[in-house]
Amino acid sequence: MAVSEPSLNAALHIKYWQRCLKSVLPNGYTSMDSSRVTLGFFILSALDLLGAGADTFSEDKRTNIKEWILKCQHPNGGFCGSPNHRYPDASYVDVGHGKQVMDPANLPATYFAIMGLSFVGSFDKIRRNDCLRWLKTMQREDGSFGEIVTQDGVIEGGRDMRTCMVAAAIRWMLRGDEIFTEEEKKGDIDVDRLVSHVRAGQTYDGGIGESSQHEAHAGYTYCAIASLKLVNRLPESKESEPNSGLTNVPSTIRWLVSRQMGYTAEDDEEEEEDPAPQVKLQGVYTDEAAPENEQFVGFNGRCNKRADTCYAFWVGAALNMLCHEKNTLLNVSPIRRFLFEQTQHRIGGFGKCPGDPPDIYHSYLALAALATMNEPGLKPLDAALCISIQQKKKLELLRKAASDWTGE
Amino acid sequence: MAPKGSKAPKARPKPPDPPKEYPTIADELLAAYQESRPYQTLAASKGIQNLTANEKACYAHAVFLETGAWRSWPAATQNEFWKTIQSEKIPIPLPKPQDLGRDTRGIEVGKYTPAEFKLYLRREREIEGLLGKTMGYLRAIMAAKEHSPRVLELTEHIISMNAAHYTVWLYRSQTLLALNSSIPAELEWVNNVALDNQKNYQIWHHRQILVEHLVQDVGSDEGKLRELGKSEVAFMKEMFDEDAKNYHVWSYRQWLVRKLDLWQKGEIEDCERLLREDVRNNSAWAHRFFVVFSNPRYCTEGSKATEFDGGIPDEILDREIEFSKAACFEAPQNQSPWNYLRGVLKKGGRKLVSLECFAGEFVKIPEKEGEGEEDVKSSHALDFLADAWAEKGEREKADRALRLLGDKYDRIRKNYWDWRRALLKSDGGGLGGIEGQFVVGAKLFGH
Ligand SMILES: [Zn+2]
Repeated sequence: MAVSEPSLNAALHIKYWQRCLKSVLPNGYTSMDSSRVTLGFFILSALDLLGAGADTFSEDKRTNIKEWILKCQHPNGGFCGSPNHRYPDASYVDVGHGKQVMDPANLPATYFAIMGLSFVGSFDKIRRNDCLRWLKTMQREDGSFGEIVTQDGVIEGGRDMRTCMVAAAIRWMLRGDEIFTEEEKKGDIDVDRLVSHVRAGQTYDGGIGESSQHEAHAGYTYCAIASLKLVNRLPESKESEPNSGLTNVPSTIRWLVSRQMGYTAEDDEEEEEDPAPQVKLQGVYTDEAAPENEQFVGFNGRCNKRADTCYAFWVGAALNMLCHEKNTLLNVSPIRRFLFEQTQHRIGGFGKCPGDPPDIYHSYLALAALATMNEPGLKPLDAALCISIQQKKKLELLRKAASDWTGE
Repeated sequence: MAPKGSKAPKARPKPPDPPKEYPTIADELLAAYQESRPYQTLAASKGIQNLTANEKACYAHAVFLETGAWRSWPAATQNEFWKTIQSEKIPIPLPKPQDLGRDTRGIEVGKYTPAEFKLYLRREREIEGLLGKTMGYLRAIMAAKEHSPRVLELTEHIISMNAAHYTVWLYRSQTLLALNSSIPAELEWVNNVALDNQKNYQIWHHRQILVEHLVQDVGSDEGKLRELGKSEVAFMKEMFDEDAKNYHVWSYRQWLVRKLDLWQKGEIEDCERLLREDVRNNSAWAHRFFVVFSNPRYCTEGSKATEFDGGIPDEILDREIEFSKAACFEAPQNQSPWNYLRGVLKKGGRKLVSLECFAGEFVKIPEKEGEGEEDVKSSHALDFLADAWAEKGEREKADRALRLLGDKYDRIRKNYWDWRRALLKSDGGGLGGIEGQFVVGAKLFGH
């Protein structure tokens, strides 16, 4: 059966993202929730992937966004999730070592804020040294990172792979991966410990979980692999390497490709009546006459869960980093068809599951997934940073341009 | 320097009227701002020189609060300062309201009525945000390090709007402990919040803090600890009735197993109960692996999930193998028990070939190609056999299994199976062989 190949309607998606830009990236005070900076990053990067990025905005608009992000910067380094997380500066008495009295800077927000700034301006207003000093205080003995550090110096927040990835990315954006001077090395995070923490997260089935004793999860698996990539410790897929950050690469690859599932519309209907997920094997219980569903291939995030748009990115990008064969382990057409014909929305954007309304998070990760698979009409993606390769290069230039920062 | 402030507050400005309706949100925020600084207002209207001594003292305190000047004082002075703030009930000044900007249609947001503003926040945001005003109050309280019952009220209110605010939870738990509030009562409340917010993880961190304290209080009272374990497990069952794969709940459960030493207290049985309900519940499989292969009674400390552990008794390995086999028979195309089997074999240092016969139950391939039809009940069995055969050096057979997977039984992963075939040709090993190399490599270099 000949299946026509869908294609990207860039204009439709640009419209969707411009609407998001209007309603989400605000003026001043209206931005009150802590995820605003995160949403801002998704919007700016989506428009960049579509070739309608911040370089096409008016100077005013760029300055506006830049100033808004900078308002989130914490006086003692790092960023808060939104501007009104900031109390007047006088409240931020540094009780030593970057420990903060209230509304402490937050690791994921810092990552998204610096990323966001890279789209609309320069890095010269980032308190780079403060930020790196603060970053170091977020690392625990076991190598993991928390989300915030309280005034008593307690590192709070989970110890999973997400904060590792975010920490590795902040380090990469502000310091790069060049050889450090002795002085710089002293202020650096402990990379060996970070790597051994990630190594310890591999589960019995080959994936990576919150910890090795927990269930493997595609989001954590991506974050673990991206962390290793960003600190230059990712092994090649075919040979063992002494400093590798994974104990068993082929089993990770097996786990990742197992996340693909043939999707049929009935799967969802069944699921509504019966919450037990239905996994259909191609051809096993059916006679030859029964049609196999290879038309749409989606991804789940854990074994025996249902397909969800975002995992096309978490899984596809993880494989992209592990395999130099560039995603040849995946068969791209049915994945594209799943995204374009099942989760793409009429008004632009993508939903979590077929039939769902679009949301910013899934819309961005669908574009990112397509960009990792070299979708025409999208800029090619850097899987570890989850931005276009072009933007990655721009980021490197920004870092260099600001290299003679006094810091603050 | 702090004035003695224990006199009756007769000169205190009138308490604010009960909440009233304001025409616009800007008015409401401004009113809240002004209400929070009555002494500054009083001083502005009467002139500082006309204030009574007590009013002057209160005014000075309010200004210190607003500027944060008190922070640089010695601890004893600060204590004195806060005593006065409390006895005089001096409100904590809110930051001055800022311009709310314009909405997407260009209308000034400040001109919305408070009710419209509430709707606007809901409508305009993909994620429902916090009401800035309430957060503003809480911030002021946090800045003052006040730990009082009203903190509990305020945080409860904020959490009901947005349960994902990390610092709010942290401040709530600090306040609870400072006030010596009833932890069981808090757990009751948290149960309901958790049931309403399935995706929230801050709740589970909060719960850890609470249970940690309960455990300290209980000390070594075995009976009470057992009761605590039971009630926690019972609550998790409620959560699992909603979603048996909730990642946060499972994560908390692992923490609890370690904390309360629940290794041999019904955990395996509970996993089995969940697997009887749904044999495809991979979270329950993963928990079982944790309970069996991290149990400090016999497991080697620090042994990774992907490593051989000489400490595991044979009878436990056998038991786990039998359990997974039964599950494979029940649903041959369920990958969970097949993955579990591989994990058990690795832990026990046993070869895949030791289960060749078992996997063969699901796969009948005629000796020679083209002589009759093959019969494959599980693609995972075929994958298992491909590795087992590669392990034995039977490359031809392994290759045929991989080819069958790509061409017929698992076509959506054809590229992957082809890659495996190429690997097989290039170094003679299947996944089993390659895995071996990696582990050796890792061991050699001391990781
Ligand atoms: Zn998703």
